[in-house]
Amino acid sequence: MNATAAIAGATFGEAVRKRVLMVILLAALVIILISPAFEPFAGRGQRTLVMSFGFGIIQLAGTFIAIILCTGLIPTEIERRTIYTILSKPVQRWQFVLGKLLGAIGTLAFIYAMMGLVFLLVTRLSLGAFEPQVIKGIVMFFFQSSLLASVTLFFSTFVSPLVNYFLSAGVFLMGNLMSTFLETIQRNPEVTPLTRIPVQILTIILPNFANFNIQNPIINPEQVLTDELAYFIQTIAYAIVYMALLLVGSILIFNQREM
Amino acid sequence: MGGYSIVSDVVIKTVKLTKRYSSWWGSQTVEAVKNLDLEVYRGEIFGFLGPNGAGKTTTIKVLLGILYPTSGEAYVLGKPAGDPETHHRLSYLPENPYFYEYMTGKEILTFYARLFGIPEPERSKRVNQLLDRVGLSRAANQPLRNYSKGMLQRIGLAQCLLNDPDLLILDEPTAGLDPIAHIDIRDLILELREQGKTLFISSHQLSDVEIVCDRVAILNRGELVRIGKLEELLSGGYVEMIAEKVSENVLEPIRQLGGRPSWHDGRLIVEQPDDGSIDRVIDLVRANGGHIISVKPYRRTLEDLFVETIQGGRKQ
Amino acid sequence: MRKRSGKLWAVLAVLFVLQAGLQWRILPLWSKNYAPKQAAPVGLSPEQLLVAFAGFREFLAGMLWVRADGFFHSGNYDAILPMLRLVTWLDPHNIDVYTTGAWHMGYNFTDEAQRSDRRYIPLALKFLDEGIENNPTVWDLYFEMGWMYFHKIQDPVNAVPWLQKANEFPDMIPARRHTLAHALFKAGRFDESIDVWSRLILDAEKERHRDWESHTLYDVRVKNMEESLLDVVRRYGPEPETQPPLNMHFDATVKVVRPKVILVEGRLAIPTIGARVTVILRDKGKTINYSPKALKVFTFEVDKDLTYMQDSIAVRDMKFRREIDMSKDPKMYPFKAPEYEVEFIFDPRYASPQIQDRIGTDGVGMTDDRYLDTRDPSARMLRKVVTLTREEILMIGKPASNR
Repeated sequence: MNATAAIAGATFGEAVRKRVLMVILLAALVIILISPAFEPFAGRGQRTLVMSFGFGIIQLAGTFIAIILCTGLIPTEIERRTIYTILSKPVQRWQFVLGKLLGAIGTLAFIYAMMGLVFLLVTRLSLGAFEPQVIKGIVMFFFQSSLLASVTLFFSTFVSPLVNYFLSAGVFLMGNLMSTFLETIQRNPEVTPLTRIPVQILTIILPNFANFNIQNPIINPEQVLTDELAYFIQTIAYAIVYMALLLVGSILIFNQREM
Repeated sequence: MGGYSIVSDVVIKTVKLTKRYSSWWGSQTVEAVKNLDLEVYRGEIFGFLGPNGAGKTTTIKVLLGILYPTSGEAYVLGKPAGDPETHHRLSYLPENPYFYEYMTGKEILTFYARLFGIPEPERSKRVNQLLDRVGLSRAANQPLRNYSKGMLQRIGLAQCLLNDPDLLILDEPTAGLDPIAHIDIRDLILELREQGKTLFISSHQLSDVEIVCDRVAILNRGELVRIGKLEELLSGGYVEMIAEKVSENVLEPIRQLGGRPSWHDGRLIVEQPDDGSIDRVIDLVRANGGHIISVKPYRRTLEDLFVETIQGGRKQ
Repeated sequence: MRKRSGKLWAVLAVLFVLQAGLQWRILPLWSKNYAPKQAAPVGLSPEQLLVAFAGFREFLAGMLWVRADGFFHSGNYDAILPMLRLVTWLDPHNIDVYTTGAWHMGYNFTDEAQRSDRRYIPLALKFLDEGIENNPTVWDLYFEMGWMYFHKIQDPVNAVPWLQKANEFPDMIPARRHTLAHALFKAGRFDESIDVWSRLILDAEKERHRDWESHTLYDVRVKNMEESLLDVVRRYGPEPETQPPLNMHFDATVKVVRPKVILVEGRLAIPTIGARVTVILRDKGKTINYSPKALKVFTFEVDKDLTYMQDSIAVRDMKFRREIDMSKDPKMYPFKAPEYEVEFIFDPRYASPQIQDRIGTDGVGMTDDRYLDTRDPSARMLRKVVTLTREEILMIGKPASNR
């Protein structure tokens, strides 16, 4: 386990020194910080503005960082041959993949912590009260990005980084869309099972990123939620199970991989 | 796996090892290694030679379990290649190694020590010892991006020694280094042999290796063309004789004696096999009024062997 | 040597089934709590839809709302309507967009003379209705609906149920609770109005010592109740000031002075100032149905062929007179119908208090020889209707008529 931790640590250390990622993070932090400046445009929708702006930026930055970070994790190691010094040590391939994933998740945790803190501060300053609800949204986005990171890492075990950008972004969009799509189809009485069932199957198979988009009721706290706790537990469990699934898939492919 | 009983003195063994690369749709294949049979014994320095693209690195990667053989078998330290347990007892230095540049020399060695599972406080102790040994103590807290190529190579060697390995696999250890660094590394290699370690060194540069290798194998286009003790492979040097004022009558008898005479600025230069026949050549020259300027023995170098072998391979 | 990975495949299968099971359980809860409530609107560009689906719904809605606000300030009102639709679809819980949007539709579409386009009111009501459907647990939209009836449509009777509903919420802004009492009073339900005041006073009493604001609130409520009681006693008590009924001698005429320009003149025999007469010109028989259910689905389209002008004219020296120019706004006043009716209404419920002191909130103290209208149980009104043909308004063929 020490080896996995060492790899995770090295991955984290390298990620937080990666200029692209830090520029995105910094830009996000600055935008969140200045978002109250748009309040004059918001009228009575001040809360909506600050909240949706902040959540939007955080999600956007987290998504980009997850994809950009994870497309390179394994290919870069191969390209600069550092992987040979690692795999020639008593390190199993699964430890390497797990270490990389944990390092990526650690990086995302760090990034979300930074953005979350700034966001909390901004909401405190501009809305006049601490909004602990914000933390819920941030945590869910963190899991969303972590799941996306595992998707990207999975793809990175067998496609090139460039293909991976589009593949991961595509899966992310699809995974955000399926629930709404299914919902629309289920509400429409004219849709036949011939259409409905494939959509249902696809919704179940694809990683569902829409599960984590819970910001709406936080932005508009008037809405009453049913079984919120159960929803959170199930969704986080879902994220972990799906990440484990992708990790096992990544290991299966990476075990066969020749470098 | 396999029915081979591995003699305990055999550290590396390959049997009909073949590695074929194919493009992913399988239409084009390249055989990087063909039917390679190799045995490396405990305590020797084994030179694994060949021009670029001969299949040296491919063979090493198979030995490390990073690549999988297409056919044939490979054993390292008595276990099938790639067995993680053997990785505790071997070390590998890739060609032109790269490390996490943001880390300091100390951090990168600590990182590798953790990969070896070396616990504290043993870890810190060994890291400091090795930094000292490769002469990087003063640069230990500088990030690797400030290191010169030679310093990086020394870090590479240090990370190889962290686990006090029985077998070191060094891929082109002197590539791109200045002459002084060459000597440093050569000395280190000799020192390691003194400690009874087995070294498997691949190289396409010959001068530094030939001095230290006990045995060499020459690989060309994936095939083993020569293997043996260095003295055996290098046996059969020649003696060079230079004379002047010699009549041309001597040329034919010299050729019959196995020599290779040639004229240069009115001087006769003869390359005579090192088999005692030089005495008769001297007699011949003198008998024909010649004046001998010099007689000098030349040993065959690894380089000669290498060039002969590769050219032989190309003619085929 | 390659790994054999039979066990890993088994783990993979188990994890897959596990995630599928979890997702199947998550879907219904997600649908209940987080799904967008409307069906996807048509007319969105693919990029907008993509961004919307990609989990940036609220973000996009926020951005659009900022943009809509820009349109509002630049007076580009038509551009706001699709924005409203988009924003509320993306973020159906954005209360501000519903309230502001409904207010915008109800008040901001006007002609050159700042007369608002009444054809938009049913749209505003439907928009609020949809907002309530999406956010039934929030008081704001019930209040806005009530306010729309109370103030814009001037229909206190239909305002009451909405305001009652809004007042049921404990978190409603205290000052807004007063609207219900006022609406009840105007609807002629005096007892209930005073009931509401007394309950509000009891509420405020508990808090009155907390701060200055709470104290003021208490004072305002007490003063309002006292006034209401006094009004009831003076107007409807044993010696009512509203008796005997005052003859209003109401009359009005319409004269077309130029094409699409009418001059309305009339008389209302009320001795004090503060009375207003409402004038409506509309396609004959085409009254507007001010009901949230008048429209089946929300739309931005109003009946473009319908002409409906409403104005309110102050009475001075017992006379009123205004030239109403409808020639500059062909979009609002298309004049497509063959016949038009011009309706003059005097509604005592929205008259000033000094007038109501004489004739009553419900018009019990007024009468008229010709135009008294007693059909509305909540109040007696004065109403006169004049009919005009399209030719007359457009001054086609014959000279201007005077009726």
